[in-house]
Amino acid sequence: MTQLVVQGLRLEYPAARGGAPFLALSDVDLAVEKGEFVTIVGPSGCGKSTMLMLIAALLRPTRGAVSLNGQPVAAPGPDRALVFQDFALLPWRNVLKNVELGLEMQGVAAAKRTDIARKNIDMVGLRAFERHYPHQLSGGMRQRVGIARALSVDPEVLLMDEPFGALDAQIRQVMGSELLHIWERDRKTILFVTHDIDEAIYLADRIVVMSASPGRVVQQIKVDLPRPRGLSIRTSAKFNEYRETLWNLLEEQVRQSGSWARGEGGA
Amino acid sequence: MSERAQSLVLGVLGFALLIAAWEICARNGLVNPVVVSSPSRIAAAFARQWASGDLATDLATSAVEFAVGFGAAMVAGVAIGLAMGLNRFVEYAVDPFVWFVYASPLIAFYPLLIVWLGFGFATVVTVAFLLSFVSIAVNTLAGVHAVDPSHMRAVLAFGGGKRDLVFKVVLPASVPHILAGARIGLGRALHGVVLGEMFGSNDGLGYSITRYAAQLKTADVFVPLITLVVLGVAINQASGLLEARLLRWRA
Repeated sequence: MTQLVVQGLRLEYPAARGGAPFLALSDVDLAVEKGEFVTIVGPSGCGKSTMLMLIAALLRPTRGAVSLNGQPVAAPGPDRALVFQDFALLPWRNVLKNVELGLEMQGVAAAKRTDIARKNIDMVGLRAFERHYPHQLSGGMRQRVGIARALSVDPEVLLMDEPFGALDAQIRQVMGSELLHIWERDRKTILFVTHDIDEAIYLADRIVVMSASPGRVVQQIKVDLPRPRGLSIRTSAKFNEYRETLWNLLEEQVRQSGSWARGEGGA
Repeated sequence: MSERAQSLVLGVLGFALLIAAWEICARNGLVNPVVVSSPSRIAAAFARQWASGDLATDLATSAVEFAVGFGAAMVAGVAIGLAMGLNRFVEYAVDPFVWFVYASPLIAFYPLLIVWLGFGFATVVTVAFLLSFVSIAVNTLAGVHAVDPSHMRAVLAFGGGKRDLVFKVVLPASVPHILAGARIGLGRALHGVVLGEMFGSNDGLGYSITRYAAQLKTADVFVPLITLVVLGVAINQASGLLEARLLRWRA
């Protein structure tokens, strides 16, 4: 069943004084099935994070629409929960209170909030840390809090914006496999933005490859690897084929944009 | 002995030596004890003012004026700082007044304050308020401006509204700045109380200092003076402890 539909989504920033308007996202179409794990890859600055913000309705599109279960999306809401690259935890709240944040917005009663939050903190393996403040946690642990916070509101779709981008390579792999673990329990629909090709293949049912700026969808690749996937799958022949295909697609995009020559960063 | 213990012992020792030297000088006529006074005379004056109840009355008067003046400055400072930070138009409209109050030597206004508010409580509280409220407002404003947009985004993403932004992000995020402003404000409010009492009142520790000094009762002057010093140190210590407790979440 198709759950999330993105239609002709376009975002244009008005011209700065004396400049041309900037086209961040150019007419993106995308349909996501319920329970599907979709990863989105593309060169830096291609607008993949922007697309996520548009789906979350933190940004307003210039044209086009997003709909969830047939209903147009107009405002941010708990049906689409975001996980941020910079974690975006509130430093003055301990782990438990951070995870309760989304539930507070929904007006869930205090006792029930704590129950739900604890359950999700347990799930990400932070039971012993619920009274800790973010500054007392490692990057990986902070993002577990971010994931628990997003899962607590029981969203229809989980929007993950390079969630492991700030973590070092090893932690990143572990977090990926733990995320799959959690996903396999309740199969929430996930949209996962990354610039890490291995991560994109390892996690996905389907990979959406985006063009260099202005971003549009260049190709979609179904990932036909068996689940559950162990970390060793990354060395399999089939995984290698996907890796090569993606490399070629992305290299072409990066060359076209010339951003490799200008050394641009950011998403 | 630990370094902490060393610094404590040597600090107390140095202080004791100074007092002993003062006493010796006064007893041997090296300084005029009537003008300079001496520790033993001050101790006697302290006992006298305590027994008569004068000290307790002065202390109570000053403490209440301080609490009301600083309390009002805290409430108004945070409210105005927040309003300025959240709304550009309020900021532009209020900014000149804030800097006017901050930059002007407020004590020059005391004759006017007395004409408007009368001699005593209202004038003293107003001086304390005016002296301390700007540092609280300005720091609160800086706190609001320093709010991390990613924290706002988190609240918005989960469906939070304006109210949530103010009470779940802006206000808690500004607490370190507000406390820094309050710390400055506490000192200035105490100054305000003393100045107000000296120029615009017939009560309190500040007034007693001027009155005893006018009567050349040097030893008696030291009693409210020392009380004020102790009060200032105590307020500073207490606010330090409160700050540490409120800012546990910081690295």
